[in-house]
Amino acid sequence: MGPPVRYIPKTHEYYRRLGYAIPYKYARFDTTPFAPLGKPLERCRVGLVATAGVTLLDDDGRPSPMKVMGGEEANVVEIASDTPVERLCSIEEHYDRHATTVEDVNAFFPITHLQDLARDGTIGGLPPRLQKIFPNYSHRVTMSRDAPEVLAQLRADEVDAALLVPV
Amino acid sequence: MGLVARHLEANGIPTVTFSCARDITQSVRPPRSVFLDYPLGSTCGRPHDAANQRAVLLAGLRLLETGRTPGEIVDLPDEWSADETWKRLIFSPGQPFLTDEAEARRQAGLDAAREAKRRTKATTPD
Repeated sequence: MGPPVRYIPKTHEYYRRLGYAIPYKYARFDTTPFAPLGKPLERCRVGLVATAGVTLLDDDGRPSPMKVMGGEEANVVEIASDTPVERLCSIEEHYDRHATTVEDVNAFFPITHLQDLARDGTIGGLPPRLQKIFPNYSHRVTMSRDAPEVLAQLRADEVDAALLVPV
Repeated sequence: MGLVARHLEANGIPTVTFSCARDITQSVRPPRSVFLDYPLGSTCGRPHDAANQRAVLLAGLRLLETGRTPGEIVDLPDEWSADETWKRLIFSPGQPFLTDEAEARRQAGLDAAREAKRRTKATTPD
């Protein structure tokens, strides 16, 4: 297996060629916060937070419409954790469409597996809602608005640990 | 997503972040990460392969329980395909990452973010 793709230089070069003068500034930290898991997994309520473009299908099987990223409107969307995966569909566009597919929601929003793990007792359970965040280009907006909103929802639902999935 | 992980963790909620972009994860340093060397979009395992997806998820849960080192990245051994041409082609000039329509939406998003920033600056005294 060869080395992983170096996305930072690759994307900088790619968007420079497309005419963007200022490269996207990836967040960079030298230290990291750390909170140990306070109890065994089988007693933990485990949440899921994803940037994946998943949306609920309406009763006619139509996906809810796509929204534009980057605005100031509410950005954290709740999805009931007991939603059958058949009711979800992908509207994700920012993925390697030449190499893989987003047809299978569980490959980036593993809701069925979490439901199974809660049922078989591997984890203590799921909170009533899972979170989907629209990615934002502004670190400021993410840190001042979206991250606190996710934290408030997880606290309200007494989540013990969270799985985070970017696309 | 790493920023959200850091915020949750700083406020006492342990997290594990799944990643298909190792260099970005290394830069952001989320508290715990599982790296899967698959194409962007398949962060939690191979599409239509429930056993692989479950194994990836379990690796993340195991790291939640056993991880002691802030910023640790666990590298999963799974290989996407023997042919790794996809790694060379991603974000290359001959293979547009987004469709034209998606690129237009991305551009609209950037414009909206820029406009929001301008408004914030305009209303915030120096």
